[in-house]
Amino acid sequence: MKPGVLIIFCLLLAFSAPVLAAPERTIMGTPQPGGEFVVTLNVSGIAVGGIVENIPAGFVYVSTTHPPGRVSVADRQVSFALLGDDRVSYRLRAPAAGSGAITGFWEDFVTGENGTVAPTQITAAAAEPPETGISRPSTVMPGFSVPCSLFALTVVLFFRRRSE
Amino acid sequence: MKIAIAVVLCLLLAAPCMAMMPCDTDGNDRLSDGEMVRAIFSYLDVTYRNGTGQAASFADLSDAAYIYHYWDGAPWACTDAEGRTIVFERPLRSVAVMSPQILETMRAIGYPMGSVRGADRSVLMDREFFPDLGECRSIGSLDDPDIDALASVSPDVVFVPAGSTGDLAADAASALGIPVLRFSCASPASVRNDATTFGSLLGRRDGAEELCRFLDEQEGAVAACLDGLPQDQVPAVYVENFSAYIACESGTPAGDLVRLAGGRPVPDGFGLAGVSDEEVTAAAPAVIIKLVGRDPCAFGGIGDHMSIRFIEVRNAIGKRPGWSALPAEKEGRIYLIHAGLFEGPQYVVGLTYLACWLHPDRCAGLDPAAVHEAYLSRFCGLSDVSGIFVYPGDA
Repeated sequence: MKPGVLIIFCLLLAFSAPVLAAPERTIMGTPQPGGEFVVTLNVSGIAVGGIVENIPAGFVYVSTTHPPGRVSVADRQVSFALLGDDRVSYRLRAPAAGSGAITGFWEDFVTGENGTVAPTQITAAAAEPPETGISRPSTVMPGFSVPCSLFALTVVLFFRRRSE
Repeated sequence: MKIAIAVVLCLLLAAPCMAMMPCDTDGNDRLSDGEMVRAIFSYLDVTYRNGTGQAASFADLSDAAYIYHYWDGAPWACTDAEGRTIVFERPLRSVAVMSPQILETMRAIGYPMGSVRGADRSVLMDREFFPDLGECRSIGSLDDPDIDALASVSPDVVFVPAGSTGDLAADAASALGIPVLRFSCASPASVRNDATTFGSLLGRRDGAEELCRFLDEQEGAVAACLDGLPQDQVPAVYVENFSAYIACESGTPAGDLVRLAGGRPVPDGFGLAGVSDEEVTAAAPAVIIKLVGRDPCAFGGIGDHMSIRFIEVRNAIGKRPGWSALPAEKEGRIYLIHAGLFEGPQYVVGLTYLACWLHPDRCAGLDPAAVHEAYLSRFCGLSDVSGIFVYPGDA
């Protein structure tokens, strides 16, 4: 297949994917070894639904501001029942050292849509002095990483072919 | 006391429809927060956490979520334009519609056309205006409902026009055990009421509010132009239905809109009435409005770009015995308009045209074509459509 055609095909494929009102995950602050940090999910587009968050090994679920009775914790999974909520926040404790990704699934039972919350990579690391106290959102825009990756891949293929 | 008895009788007569409310575990006809949360967790547990407990199906949970969100967690009692109440315990996922005006109103508030599984034959013939009815089946017409098609579509409810014209279709659906709701969506007042009722029933309250806001804005613009209109400046208007010599008097959508646009329908009367040359010439209308779009004047509207038939009908009016002496003919104030602009939520388009024709000086700032375009794009999902809707073209 010619590179130009491949690029167009990839772009069409990437941008034809339906855009859902997927929740976005944000981590405020840098997880310190043994310290606690807050994970926030923006769920304003979901009227009645649920979210399941998978916590990476070594990290421990501590608490949430979500109403009691609408949270369920089992092993490294935390589920939230959503009834008209705008956001869900919960607190995790980082291990002395380690890293992993928070992954999640969401369901909107009113619209019938569901999907995954984009993974968020977290690393327990001592904060560098200049960055102390600065919030660093680590939101990954859902659905955008795939088109970007495809685009980057095709560009590389294109220039590689040309250099040959 | 009498009111209390009437209320009790109404409640007894209200027919509960469809299966029992899902996820209502205590059976009290009310979905509590706790019941909803338990249903959500059971589903998440089985779906994402390898749980082995019992969970509601996705369909049941979706229905429960809809009831919780849109119906305040309880069955929804819908009262139609004929005062009949039906209690729904499930959302309407599949409907049939026997009226273009009802369907247009439903679309205008955002009800998905994919949920319309059956429609009146005339609706399906108007693909230019209703292009999104891909899977929709014909269920006959008001005069000749197709019982077999209706049974095979088996909708959750059939929407039928209020009034005697819809009786046959309503009886046919009832005989099959399909709930029937009857609305008109014809007059300005009924469009608003019906849109609001649809909004609550179909989970489209925001859409209904947006539509009503649009209608209020357009009606308000016309009312502002006509504010303080002296009685002696209210012109006599002869509105003629599709057939010649049939006048639309007060009580018809066109007649009522003429009043709203600062005119007076002549000759005096109510409803559709046959008239003679003598009656019309005696009434001496300053403006004549002729409706087209249905037999025997079935032309105009989206996709029709041929003005010749408009011109023929226009000229024929002036050749009727004695009509050349009418003020409307002498001053060139005879207008043809597609009836679709007088019916359903589009009535504001027709109203704006009428106001401009009846009071060109006062309403010079109104732009009916722009109102029409805005309505089509915002509430019908139709952009870049064209056709002849009025003649002469400029308001």
